[in-house]
Amino acid sequence: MNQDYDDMNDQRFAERLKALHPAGSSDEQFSAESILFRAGYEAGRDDVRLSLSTHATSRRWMPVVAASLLTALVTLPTAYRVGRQSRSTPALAVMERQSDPDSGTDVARETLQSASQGDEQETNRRDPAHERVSPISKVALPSFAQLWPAADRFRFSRIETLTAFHSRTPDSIPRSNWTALEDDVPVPSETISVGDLDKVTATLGFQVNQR
Amino acid sequence: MPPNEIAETWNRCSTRLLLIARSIGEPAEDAVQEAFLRLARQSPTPDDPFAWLVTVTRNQLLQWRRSGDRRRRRERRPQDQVWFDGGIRQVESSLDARQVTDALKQLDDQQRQVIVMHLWGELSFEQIAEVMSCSRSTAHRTFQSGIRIMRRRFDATPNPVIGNHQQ
Repeated sequence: MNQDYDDMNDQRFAERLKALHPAGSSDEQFSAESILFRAGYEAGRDDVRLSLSTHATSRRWMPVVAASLLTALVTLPTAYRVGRQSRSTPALAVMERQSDPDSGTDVARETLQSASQGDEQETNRRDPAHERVSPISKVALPSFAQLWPAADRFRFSRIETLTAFHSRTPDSIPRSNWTALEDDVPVPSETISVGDLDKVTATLGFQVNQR
Repeated sequence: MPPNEIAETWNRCSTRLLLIARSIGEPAEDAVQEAFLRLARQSPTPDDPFAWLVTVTRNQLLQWRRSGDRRRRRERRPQDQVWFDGGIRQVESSLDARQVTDALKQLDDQQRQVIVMHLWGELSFEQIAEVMSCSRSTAHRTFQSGIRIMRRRFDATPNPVIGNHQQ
């Protein structure tokens, strides 16, 4: 008796069962050809997908890395130089001096605002009326004044240059007495006489560098 | 696995594997085809391709059953399929294919799977134990109890008519 069975009747019955032949499938798709076709299709699809994903991956991050490195190489020296210069400017010194753990950010922002509004606040600094009116100038002008102490840096400040003619009228501006005749062809170097130039410079308080 | 080996394995194993898959549950045909597709992608080729296919097929069916996937497709399939051929084999067996199918379906899941794997799948109890994650003795006891239940059922039937339900 087979050791798989405790009972001969079970063994004989199992042998009868075993004589039955398993049925196949009625589905036409259930065939070796179908399996091979699907296996080949999936192998080709996976191959294409793998190659595409590999190219896509390299195409995706390689240019980004290359561009980042190139940008870093190009901008690093300039950034370093600008940073060094910024550290040495009075603006940053003032900002650092005015920095406060509680309101340091606000002071710095106001200082930057004052720097960006250069001419306007320079006008305010010179005009007491503006100083009384503008609340910004009350906060920003002290620091701005430290940013522009440069009487020794500029011979004429921008505000002096711009307001040189403010008190003048068209009639009070000195004019040349020189007139061009029809038969007298004007020569550019002779259009202003020496006397006229002296008169202008003396009236406006300009200094003329003699060559 | 090379195509010629896949075709040869298919011709040799697909019918037996389909019966084992049917004993586990539906969709048996989908699971068998999926197992063969995985075999085609498998590298290196398993030492015992049929045992490997049985394991993959069973795991696939259990996974589909857990996830509820392919439920609609399974429900569309006819549930009254006869798992065995009629004809000469049936005469030799003197058992009716449909009655055997029904008797197997009425068994416990474990008993049905072990009987089908051992009798028609020709797997040893060691292989069955590995596939079903149990001990060899458990697989053996399950087989014996299932065979006894089926025999008593057929003994109670005085004349299992041959050829009544030939396909």
